[in-house]
Amino acid sequence: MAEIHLQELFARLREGDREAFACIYQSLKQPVYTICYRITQSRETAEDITHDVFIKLFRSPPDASVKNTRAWIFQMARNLAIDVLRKNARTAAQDTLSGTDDGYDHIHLRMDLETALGKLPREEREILTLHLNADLNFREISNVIGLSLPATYRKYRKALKTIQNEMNGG
Amino acid sequence: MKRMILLAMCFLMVCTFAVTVSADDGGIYETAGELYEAWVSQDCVPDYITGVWSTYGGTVDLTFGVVKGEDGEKGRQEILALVRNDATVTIVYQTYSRNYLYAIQEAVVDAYFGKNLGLVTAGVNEYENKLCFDVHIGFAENPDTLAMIRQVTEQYGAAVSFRSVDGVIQLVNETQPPSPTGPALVVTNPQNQPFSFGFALAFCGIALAGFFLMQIHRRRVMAVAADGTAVVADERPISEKEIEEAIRNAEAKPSEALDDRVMRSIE
Repeated sequence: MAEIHLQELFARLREGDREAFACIYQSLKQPVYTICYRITQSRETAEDITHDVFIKLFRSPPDASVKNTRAWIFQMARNLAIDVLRKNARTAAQDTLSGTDDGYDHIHLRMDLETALGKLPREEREILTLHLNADLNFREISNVIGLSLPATYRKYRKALKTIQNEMNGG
Repeated sequence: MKRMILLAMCFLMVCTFAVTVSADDGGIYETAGELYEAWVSQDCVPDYITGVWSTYGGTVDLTFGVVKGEDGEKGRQEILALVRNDATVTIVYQTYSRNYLYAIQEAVVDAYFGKNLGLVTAGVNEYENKLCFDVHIGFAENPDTLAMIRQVTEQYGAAVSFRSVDGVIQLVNETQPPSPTGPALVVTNPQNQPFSFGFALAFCGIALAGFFLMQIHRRRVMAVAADGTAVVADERPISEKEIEEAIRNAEAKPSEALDDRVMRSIE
C-alpha cells in the first residue's frame, strides 16, 4: 500500500473510522506478522505481538506529523518483538512449517529457506525481512534498526550470500 | 568447442587470480562496476558518495567521489573492503554528497519549476559535483527569475549553478567527465595500475565465455520447464535474485483466529 494511501487511512482512523482500521489491518497484518515471526521464531508469540501492534495502532494511531507511517509501524512491531524476546528469552523451539497451509507450493524449498533464515543473526534476518517483506528501502531500515546505511546494506548482502551458500549446499 | 572455451576460461582464470591474489581482501564485489550496479539497483547509494563516473570509459573501472573528511575516509575504506579487485576503484574527494544534491534538486524543482521563471532543466553533474540549472535565455532579465537565482544561490552556495540556454534541452544527471582535466585523482593502489588493462581484457574474456556457456545452460533448463515437467532445483545453483524472490514469497501468514481476536479487541 502506498504511503499516501496509508496516511489517508490513518487520518480517517483518527476520526474513529473502523473501516479504515480494517483496511490497514488487512494490508499490513502479513508483513507485520512476518517481521515478528522472523524475530521471535515462534508463531504463537508472533501472533500475540501482531495483535498488540494493531490494538496499539487502533487506540493511538500515529499523528499527522509522522511522515513515514509504514516504517513507523514496523519500528513499533520490531521494538515490541525484541521486548518480548528479551522477557521470554526463547521459550519455544522453532515452529515447523508443515502445519501451515499458506498456499506456498514449494514447501521443501520454503522449509530450507526458513531453516537458512533461522541460522542468520537476528539483525540480518530483520534486514532481509524489512526489505523483502515489508518493502522498506535501506534508508528506512537503517533508521528502524539504528545502523548506518552502508552497514545495513552490507549486512543485507552478507545475509543473502549466506542463505545462497546454505541453499546451494554450502 | 565447449571444451576449448572451458580450457581457455580456466587458463585466463589462473592467470588472473595469480596476479589479483594480492588484491583479494575478501570483498563482496569483484569490480567497482558491480558495486555501483548493486547500489543503483537497490536504490542505496551511500551518503558519503559525491558522484560516480567511468574512469576509462567502460563500466568496470569507476571513479567514486567521496565527501572530504572523516565520513569520506570511512567511505573510501568501505568501498575498498567491498570490492575485491581494488585496481578497478579510483577515489577522489569532493564537497557535496550526491544524495544531498538530489535532495536539493527535488526541493528546487518543487518550489520553482512550472512557475514561469524560465527554468528548463535541472540535473546533477556528478563529475563537477554540483546541481546545474538551465534557464531560458528569454528570462535572463526577468526580475522574478533573477530573484529566484539569487535566493537559491544564497541558500545552497557552490552546490548549485545556473546557465542560460536558448531552449535546447540539455543533458541531465551527467556522470561522464566532460574533459580529461578535473579533480585531482587519488590512485588507491598504484602497484596494481599497470595490470588494470590486462585485468579488464581478462575479465571481458571470462565474462564473454561465461555468458555464452550460461546461455547454453539456461536454455537447457528452460527447455525442461517448457515440456511441462518440473525443473529440478539442483540443475543449477540458486541465484541471489531467486533467493530474494523466495523470501518475498515466503511471507509468513497468521492464523485466521488472529483476525477474530483483533476485531473483538477493538469492539
